[in-house]
Amino acid sequence: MVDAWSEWGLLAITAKGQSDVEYSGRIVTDSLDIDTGDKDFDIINLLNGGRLEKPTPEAETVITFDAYFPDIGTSGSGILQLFHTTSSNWDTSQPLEITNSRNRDQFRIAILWTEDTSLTSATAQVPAGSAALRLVITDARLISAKMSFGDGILKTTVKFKVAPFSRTGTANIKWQSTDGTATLEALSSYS
Amino acid sequence: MKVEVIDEYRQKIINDGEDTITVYDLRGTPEEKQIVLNPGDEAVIYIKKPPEKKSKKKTEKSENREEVDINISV
Repeated sequence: MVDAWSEWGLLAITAKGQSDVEYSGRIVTDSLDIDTGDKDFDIINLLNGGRLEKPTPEAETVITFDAYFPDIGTSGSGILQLFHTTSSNWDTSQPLEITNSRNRDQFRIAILWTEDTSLTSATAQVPAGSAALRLVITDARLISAKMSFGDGILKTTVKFKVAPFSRTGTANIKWQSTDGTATLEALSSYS
Repeated sequence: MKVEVIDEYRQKIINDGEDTITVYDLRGTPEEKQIVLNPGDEAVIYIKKPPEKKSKKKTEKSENREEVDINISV
């Protein structure tokens, strides 16, 4: 049994209809933040001294991390093409170029912590024998990619935001875990 | 990542980058299979299932069939 997850994890980003790309080799470990949306409620005071709960619908979840990207590639070495346009407009022939546009893509983000550190993809199967914890967020939007050279090194702060449900009510946030007694199956493609 | 089109059914995927890429054989079908490509790896994936080849073996019934002339008079 694992006491806590620390030091090592995987994070894959998938543009809708594309391959899963592993970004963990670019992300600063202690910058990863998962701001799960609150399921708050208000209180209505009743005349008899009682209280009535008025639920507030689940808020958006935001994932933030800092990363170091050397270019604007779409295979893990950059994020700006994902931010500025949709995958059908990605430039994959050197030299790469992208202009800002009004296009907005949807993304799946998978974050995996596991005892099996031989794995190289957050979307891969975790064989039985290793504990694991995985967060899968679908239909997220890349809402921010701010760059800073303030520390003398070019850093990008990336922010993904997801509504908890689709328009039709399908859940967009999924957590999975295994204590090692069962296999955690690989994720299906994101289309 | 480089993609070489082999034919209308198959693509060769080459991970020429420094990060792991995960692709899917027969993506979106019941037979979908995940393939993890570490840097330097390559794989041939089916993007759609090729049609099954029809057996050229004739059935016993068709081999034994005899040609018969039929004359119909009205």
